[in-house]
Amino acid sequence: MNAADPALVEAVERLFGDLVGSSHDTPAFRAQFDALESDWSSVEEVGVASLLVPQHSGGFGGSWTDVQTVLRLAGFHALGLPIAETLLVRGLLARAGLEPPSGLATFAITDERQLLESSGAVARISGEVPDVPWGRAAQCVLLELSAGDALGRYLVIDRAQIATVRMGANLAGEPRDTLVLRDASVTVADGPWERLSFLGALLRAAQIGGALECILGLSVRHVGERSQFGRPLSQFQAIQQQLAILAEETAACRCAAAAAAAALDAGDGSFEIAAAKLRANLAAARGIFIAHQCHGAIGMTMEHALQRSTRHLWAWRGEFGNDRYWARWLGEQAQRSAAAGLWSMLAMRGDRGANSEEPAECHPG
Amino acid sequence: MPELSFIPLQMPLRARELRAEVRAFLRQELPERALAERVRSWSAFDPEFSRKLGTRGWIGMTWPARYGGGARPALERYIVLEELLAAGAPVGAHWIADRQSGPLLLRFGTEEQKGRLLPGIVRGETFFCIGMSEPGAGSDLAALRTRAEKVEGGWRINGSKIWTTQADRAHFMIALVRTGAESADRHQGLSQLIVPLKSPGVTVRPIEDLTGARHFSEVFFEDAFVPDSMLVGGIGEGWKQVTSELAFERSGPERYLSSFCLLEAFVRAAAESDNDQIKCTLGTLTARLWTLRQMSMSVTGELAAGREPALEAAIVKDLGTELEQEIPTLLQGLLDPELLRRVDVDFVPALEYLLQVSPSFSLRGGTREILRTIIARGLAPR
Repeated sequence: MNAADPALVEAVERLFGDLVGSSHDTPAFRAQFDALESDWSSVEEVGVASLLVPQHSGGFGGSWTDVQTVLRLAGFHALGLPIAETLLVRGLLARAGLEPPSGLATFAITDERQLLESSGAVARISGEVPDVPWGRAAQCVLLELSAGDALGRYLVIDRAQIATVRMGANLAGEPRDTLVLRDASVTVADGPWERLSFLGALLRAAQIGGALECILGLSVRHVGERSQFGRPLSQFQAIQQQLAILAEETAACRCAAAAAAAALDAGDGSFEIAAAKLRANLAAARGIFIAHQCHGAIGMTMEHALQRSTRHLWAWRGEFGNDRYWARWLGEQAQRSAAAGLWSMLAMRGDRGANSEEPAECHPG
Repeated sequence: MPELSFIPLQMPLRARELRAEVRAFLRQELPERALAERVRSWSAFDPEFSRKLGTRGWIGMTWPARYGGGARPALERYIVLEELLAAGAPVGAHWIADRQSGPLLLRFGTEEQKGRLLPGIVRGETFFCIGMSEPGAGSDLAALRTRAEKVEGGWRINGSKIWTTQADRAHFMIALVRTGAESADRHQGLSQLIVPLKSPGVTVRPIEDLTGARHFSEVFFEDAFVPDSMLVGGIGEGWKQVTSELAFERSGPERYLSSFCLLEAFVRAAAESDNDQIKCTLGTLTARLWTLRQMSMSVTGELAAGREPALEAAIVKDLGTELEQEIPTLLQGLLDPELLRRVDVDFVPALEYLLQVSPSFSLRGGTREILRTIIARGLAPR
């Protein structure tokens, strides 16, 4: 079992804590991001953006479990920085033997039929790619051209090749931009990696787990401090029951994301990632309402911290697979497993045989 | 606020081999077991099957060898348990002894008690039940009134227990009784006694449940005597003992697998379905089941490391029983004539049984409301 490096966790917690509340973290920032530069340089200093880049390429050499740990923390702080996207792209390209990009990076998935292409070793494409996280600021975009269930193709697009950016945002105010490409020259990448729809889902599942932890903490504190009818809200059974459910959903999401990361570290994590993202989506929906219920009217204001987390939760719940998307995929996996039995998918996938490598220490924490 | 980390555990080396051994054993010992039987799972009492499991070394797997145990790692036991439950094997006779009575004796019992009782449990021949609830003491267990009065050479017990699973067929009850004077702190003065159920003065009256089964009983004590050697641990330590038992009781795979056999049967019948609602329902249940398994394994790891993850165990039990209850409900909601033609011949009786007993999943071993209170208390800074 992998345990995230405690030194990394400490450094990242400190960094993220400092970044929250900086000038970029306001609605005003959404229109400009000059402050982004200085915040981003502290991210680079800690090395977290190169978390997945192998050590021999100058990176941290981290695992997917490390990624889940870091992004859980990023989700806890609801950071307005493309840490998830950048670390993923740098890691994937480095692992494929390509030069990891410097600066901000991002990724997107589009249906290949949206783009016109000319053939050749250096591809040229035209078209529009919507909903690109931080497209406006990315030095490099990793684009997956999906072709239904078949394995897609991967293109690396340098910032200079982007003709125009139409800026947009998700409901949490995170940049989600449309990139307009006109005969852009792009590099074809041959990635030995899991599809971006799955990897994106893993990132968001980790972030959702962190955000749920945040709203759980806010709710516990609020009901401990707020009194009505002569006593703190925390003494009312109705509140206690709801908080317990919020804690359960938070725990389930955290565990699922961690287990999915561990599965990916061990090899094929597609089933686990799908289950984790769906579980996270379910947990987010249930958790958001409980947290708002505990906070009362004040939790509905822009000024109160709660909305930062719950609006990010709403946004992330819908990205890289909503409930229907993953439920359908998992349901079809279950159907396909029918002959061998559902249990074969749930339990036997995680088994190792006597000839497997020696495990890492098999104890918790 | 506590960490709630539920760090995922990796299956041990040779998991594949062990799992295959258990599956082969089950194919041989329980071929063609009807679905309607399998969904009774750990309520099904089969002394013959328990003895066979004992012979294979699959009861008391983690206990020290000097008591007949296998001294195996906790995760190996976990694999065996989940295979038995997923197959709906009739593990009811030895289940309580293996899950908590044995561990209780290992932790708090005398050497004499361990030597006398554990080998029989390991062989799958000695069965236990739990005497806790009373007519006036359910969730409020500390309100119990069964008294044990100190007499020459032992204890004289008067009172009654109720809802005691397998009391009519077990050999021993471990009864939580009041041995001390009434005091302001009701948790004081409680002790646990091992009571042979055939003792004079002990009357067991099975209660018919709403499906017509008689798996639980009321047990009456009228001047029932047990010798001093039947006291577990020290006088007045009952509450502490019971609290530590609860983490074991609450976190195992039986807390989320009770409806699994039914779901697996449904998936087989629905394997060719094009219906989006069916696919999505199966997918969602799969995601929740998988997550619960990861959480349950994690708690097992904590227990094996000697910790008492009471908060985490309560979380797993509550989420698990919620899922167990939803499965038959959802499946009833999905059936149509097409599916009914494809399911096992006894799918409907199995479904009907589970629907009727499913409300008990969130009552037994601690009600949902109490569990959530425990969880909430565990969150708040004291």
